[in-house]
Amino acid sequence: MTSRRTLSFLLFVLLAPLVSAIKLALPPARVPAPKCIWNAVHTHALVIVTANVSPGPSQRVDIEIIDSTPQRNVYLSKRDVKGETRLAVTAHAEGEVGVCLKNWLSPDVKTTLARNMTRTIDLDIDIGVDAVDYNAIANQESLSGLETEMRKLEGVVKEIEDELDYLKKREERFATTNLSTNQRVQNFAWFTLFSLIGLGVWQIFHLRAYFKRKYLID
Amino acid sequence: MTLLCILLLSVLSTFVSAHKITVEASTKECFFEDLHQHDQMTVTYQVGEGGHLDIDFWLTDPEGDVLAKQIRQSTGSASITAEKDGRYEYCFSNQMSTMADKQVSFNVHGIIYIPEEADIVAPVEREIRSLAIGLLAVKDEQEYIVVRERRHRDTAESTNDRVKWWSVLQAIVLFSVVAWQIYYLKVSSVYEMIQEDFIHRIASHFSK
Repeated sequence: MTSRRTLSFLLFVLLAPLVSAIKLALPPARVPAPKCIWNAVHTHALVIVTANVSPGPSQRVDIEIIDSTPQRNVYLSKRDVKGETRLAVTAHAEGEVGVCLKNWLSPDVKTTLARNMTRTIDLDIDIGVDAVDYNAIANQESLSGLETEMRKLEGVVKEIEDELDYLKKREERFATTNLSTNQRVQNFAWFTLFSLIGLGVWQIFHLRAYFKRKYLID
Repeated sequence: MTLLCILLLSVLSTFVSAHKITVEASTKECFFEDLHQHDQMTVTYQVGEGGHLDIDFWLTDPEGDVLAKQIRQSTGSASITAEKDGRYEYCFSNQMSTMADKQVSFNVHGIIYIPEEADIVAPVEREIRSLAIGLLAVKDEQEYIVVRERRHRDTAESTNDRVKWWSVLQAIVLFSVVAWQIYYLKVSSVYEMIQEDFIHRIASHFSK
């Protein structure tokens, strides 16, 4: 039994590193420029952002989750993030999801004193299959370690399938565009050739007629 | 067995989605990881857009010694095993450019060292594990393809547009140049010179 438990633990540990985690130090500013980290997503993909912000006096960290359209629509916005915070978002379009952080300096602190101040942010961005909580599902349906892993693989396979469908559609449009470009280049080449020859010949005839009219040549 | 675990961890840990950041001109963006001794860390990066598609990258240990340094590379990776506990920092620097912002997509994967001994693995578990590795490899390749396809599609659409506008513009220029040529020849003093020369010839012919 202990061997099974060790095995289950090992399996979870093996599957656990499938997350994206980065740590960064964010210095404060009176009017901070947002620091954004972008991740590629498909439509309807679940994105879970877990931010762990270290304590720091006179600083306020705001987190904003935006999309990659030119309008930069905001999915979710949270002021004054302290400690560990989880934000869940469902992507509504193909593209990217950006997590933007701002560290506001409190107005009663001089900018010169704030040079050494910083807040350490531990960011976890889980997308799609990685965002599903398999521990909860395992507990709910009393699945063994092996079955949970199979469930996770099932999710991965579904994601691969959906992505292949998406690629197939995109490739069709790509092929159409390329064919159209090829056709256009061909048409344009013939048009240029004939129009050059035609215009040259017409020019000569027109000028000859004109000179004859003006009695410059016979 | 521990080695197998670590090896498997290393393979599975490879498949995480890439982060993309914009490194503005004359700035650098730094990230770090707190590692324990014997932990492994791998950073892979690729410059997506901007300028000459190059970026400076370095990885330092807790004492500040540079463990990996790549200057003006378009893509690269650095893999280290932590010798001491502490904060390992890695930076992407665009300080060599004064105008172009660079977009860098990077991946970090860390492997935690598990010192415990594991029991014998059942064949089913082994099969499932190799299945997991295979599937995640497919997913990783696919993610690369999705990103590349997007860029190539944009390029193809741009080419198509450009061909259309180029041909329209060239046709306009061609016809207008021919029309201008004829108009200019008609109104320029070339004909007057020809006519003068003609009159001179007639005059000299009659004066003979």
